[in-house]
Amino acid sequence: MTEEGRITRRRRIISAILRLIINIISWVIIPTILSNYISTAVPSSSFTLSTTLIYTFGAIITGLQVLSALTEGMAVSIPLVTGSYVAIAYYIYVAVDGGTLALTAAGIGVSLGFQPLLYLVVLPPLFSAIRAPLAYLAEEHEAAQPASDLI
Amino acid sequence: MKLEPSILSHSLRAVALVITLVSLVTFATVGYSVYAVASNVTNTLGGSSHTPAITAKVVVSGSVATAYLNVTLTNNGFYPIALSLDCSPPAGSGISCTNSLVRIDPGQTQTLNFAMTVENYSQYAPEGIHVDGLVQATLEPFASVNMTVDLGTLLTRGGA
Repeated sequence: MTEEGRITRRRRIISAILRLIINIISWVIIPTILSNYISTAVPSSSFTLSTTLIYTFGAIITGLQVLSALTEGMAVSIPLVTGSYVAIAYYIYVAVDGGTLALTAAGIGVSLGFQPLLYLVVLPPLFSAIRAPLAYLAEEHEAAQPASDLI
Repeated sequence: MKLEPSILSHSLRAVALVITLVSLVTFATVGYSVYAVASNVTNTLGGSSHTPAITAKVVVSGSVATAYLNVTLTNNGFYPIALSLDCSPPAGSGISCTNSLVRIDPGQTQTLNFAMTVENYSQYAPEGIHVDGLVQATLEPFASVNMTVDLGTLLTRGGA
């Protein structure tokens, strides 16, 4: 039985629903709350996480994740998984302005730089983007090997 | 037939786990370091400590005024801290600074000594001196904070 055959339709749908909920919370609801809080608490902050950016990337990431769950085990899920992880990394990078935040308060200009920490944040999704096709190719390579009794 | 994961799959999974663990440990230690230093500064400024963190004074000798600023900081975190204070006085203003930089290793206490000299001090109005100062605090090698302040306030507040 192939990998595709072992994954049932029920499992795919449940996985897709879970990913839909988790991704909406992670990439739409939490960033919206965070953006509202920061813009209220520090109006002069350069932290510009617009609602357009949140909803655009939220929709892209959630859509790709849900589609990858619905096509789990199929070859078509690999670019969807890779695309979603690349979108996550780019979203994080853009949201924090490349690891530099600036604000002005009481006549004092404050600029915060945390590029190395940002790289640590985007490294796991970027690695996952590479890992998905490599793991698939490795498994396909094994599946493509002739059976031992035919050699 | 169930396919056994290959060595490559195992290796990729192991690398992903290592990356996640390194990220978590780094964020936890950086967070603790920032909290430890911030709470130390807050306690010192709030009078909980016997050593004042920041002292400022102005010495006027004839027409020359010198403002001294000393910042004492203890690094209770896990990473070194670099603290620097630079100034960029306007050309021909007769103002000069001794820019200073200290690197505080974990568990150590260091003092940043800064001095700003103003020639012909009496020519300036009491609050007429404005010197841009750049305070830079770096939690090596992860994050840095740059603050732009008006060091001219030292001559009014420090002398008060």
